[in-house]
Amino acid sequence: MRAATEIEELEKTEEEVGLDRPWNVVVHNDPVNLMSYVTMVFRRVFGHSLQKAEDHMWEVHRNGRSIVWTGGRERAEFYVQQLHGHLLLATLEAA
Amino acid sequence: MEFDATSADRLKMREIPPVLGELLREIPTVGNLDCPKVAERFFPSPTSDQTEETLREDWKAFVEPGLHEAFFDARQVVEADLRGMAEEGGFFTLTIPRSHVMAWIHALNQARLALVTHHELTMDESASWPPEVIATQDDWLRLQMGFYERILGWLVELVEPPPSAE
Repeated sequence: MRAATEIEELEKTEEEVGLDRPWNVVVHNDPVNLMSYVTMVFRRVFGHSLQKAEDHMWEVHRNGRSIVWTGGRERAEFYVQQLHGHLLLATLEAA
Repeated sequence: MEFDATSADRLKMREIPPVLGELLREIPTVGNLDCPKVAERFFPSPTSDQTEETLREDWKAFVEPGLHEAFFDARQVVEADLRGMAEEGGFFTLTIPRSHVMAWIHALNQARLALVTHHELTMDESASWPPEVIATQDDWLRLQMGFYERILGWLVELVEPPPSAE
């Protein structure tokens, strides 16, 4: 059984890294990546329909960024990693 | 040059002129990660939040090595396929197993991003394909960018066919 101070410390750490609040995965525009390529990546990483993937692609293209996913911190980090693996410019930010 | 996707297990590029054959051979090596600008583009920060220093440090320590390896693996697959490029009558034929298509997509995307970043090309410069005459290094780069874009577009369409083709 954990000591009270240890539990407090754990809670404090989780609060500090924001594990209990939602995080956005944001994709930023990069004029080099082909639009068809970006759409393909969204479909493969998030399982989006073609329509949804294209909507996000156009949002990135027109507005410079698109929030492509929102949820828990760990999953958000995983998606950013996947997007970096496809050389898309992606970041996570607090929702 | 002819693209052939009729086989169930392999793709073929036929009648490749020598100059384009040379550009194909450069795909695995053009992504020069010794260039700091290219390395920065290939391994961007996962956050712009200044308070997330720990995430940035962890990313460098644990995520970037895996990405490095994945990028390298894709280029290795392409390099191996290119070793099988056959010459006949002054033109080349390249066979790409369908199972290698994603590696080709990744390697071509790496090559395009590296070229633009390293040479600081504007999109106008990189999108003006094909140059009528190859007289300068910039013309060569535009040819290279345009050629890689053609192949990449073709391969992406094979992986994710447009609705009318589905």
